[in-house]
Amino acid sequence: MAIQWPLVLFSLLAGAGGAMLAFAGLSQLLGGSRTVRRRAVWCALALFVIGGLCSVAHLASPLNAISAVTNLLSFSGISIELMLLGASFIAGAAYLVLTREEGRDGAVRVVAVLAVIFGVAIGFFCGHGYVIDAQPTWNSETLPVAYLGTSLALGAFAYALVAAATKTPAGKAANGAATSAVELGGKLWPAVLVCAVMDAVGILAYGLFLGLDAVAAQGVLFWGGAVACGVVGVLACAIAGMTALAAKAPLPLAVAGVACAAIGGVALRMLMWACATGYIDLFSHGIPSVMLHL
Amino acid sequence: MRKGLLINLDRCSGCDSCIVACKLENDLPLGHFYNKVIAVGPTGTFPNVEKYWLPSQCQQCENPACVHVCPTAASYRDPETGMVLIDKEKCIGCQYCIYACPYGVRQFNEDAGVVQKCTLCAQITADGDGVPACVHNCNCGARFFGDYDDPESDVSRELAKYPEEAIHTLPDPNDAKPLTRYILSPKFASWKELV
Repeated sequence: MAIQWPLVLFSLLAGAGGAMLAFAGLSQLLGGSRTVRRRAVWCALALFVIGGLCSVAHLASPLNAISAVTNLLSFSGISIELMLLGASFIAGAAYLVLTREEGRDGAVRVVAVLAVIFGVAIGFFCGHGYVIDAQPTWNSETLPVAYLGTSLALGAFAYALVAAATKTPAGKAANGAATSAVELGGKLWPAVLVCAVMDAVGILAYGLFLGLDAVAAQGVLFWGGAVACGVVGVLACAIAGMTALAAKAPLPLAVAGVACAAIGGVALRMLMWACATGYIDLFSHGIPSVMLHL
Repeated sequence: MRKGLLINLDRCSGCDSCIVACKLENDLPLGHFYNKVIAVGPTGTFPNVEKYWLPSQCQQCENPACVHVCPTAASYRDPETGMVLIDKEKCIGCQYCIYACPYGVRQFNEDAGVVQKCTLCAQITADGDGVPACVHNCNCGARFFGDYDDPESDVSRELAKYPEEAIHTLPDPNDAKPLTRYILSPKFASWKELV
């Protein structure tokens, strides 16, 4: 089946935005820099918008998106994705509004918890809509797990990138490395490692579900994109984040992680489309109709 | 009511008249189809070889996956006739129904921006009279249309002529309940499950 690029980009960008939002929520609950959190949430909102525009590009006409919104309660795969996209966007926007001033701790904590829930859920459900009987190569819960893992990894490294790029002159944190060190109560890189492990588990589980023959037919995508970059590269960057390198060069480390996670996430989604066969694809049989030029 | 097609493969010669009639009736452009005829076989070892033709189109599932995934209810099953149809005014062109159809018999019309498939010639059959163009124009008299719940319909009467082992449906991945029946007698060829 042809690779549907708008859907590839939508699911990865929206999922990564959700992961960034979830990290901002965790930072709010565990401790960290308010500046980093607000910047990360702005980035998440931007990813939601860009991802949403990509999704609209998949439709026959951009105006058709209105029909999808007005049928939100159909609870189809698309409507669930839309609901979570909207809920995540609202949670992010509410966080930005509430944290403009001090003194709204209770409300901010509630929004932070919702941000974590919605942010993780959107990554999973962007893949769950594809789990259908008619596509044997999609019909496994390993697929949404892989979508979630790749989204979390990209969002986690993107959050680490924002933290590393943020220099907060006030307080103890005087540079990017110091800012990263206090994020999530000092547990930023362990959290990134957890996401990297989920990413690796998801990609490998889906690869095993597809089978060696299927992935061998897409060798560059699977071994090069998904495994070398998405698993090995992501894990290497995350493990490096647990060493002294995180304090010495957090920015290059986060950039490398974002690059590997993005390549891995795109490769996994391309693999899904490239391996789609259909249950019985009757119209893929052209003869004799093609010979008659009908 | 469950209106659908019955195709007698004992009679089908693979002439493609149904494809031509469908394209003319529904004004389908080059490369667009509501139905296709697939060669199944030849299989076996000479001299014991066999082959049959499998006309394929929407199977009019009673529990259609295409309807379940549609975000705008553009794909629907008519409660009056049981026919699975597409309301093109509601279709947003997301193509999820194409991914969800287990039989790959839907196509995306890029010019119109909507998904299309066999309608059982609803423009002809909606008033209860007439038959789809593919049925009317079948040279071999292999295609039948009617209500499977009506014992006097063309499909029910044709089905009644054959034993259980000659009546087939396409494989069902998960309770889609395809309505279309195929007749293939073992004396002509053995039915292949295709999966």
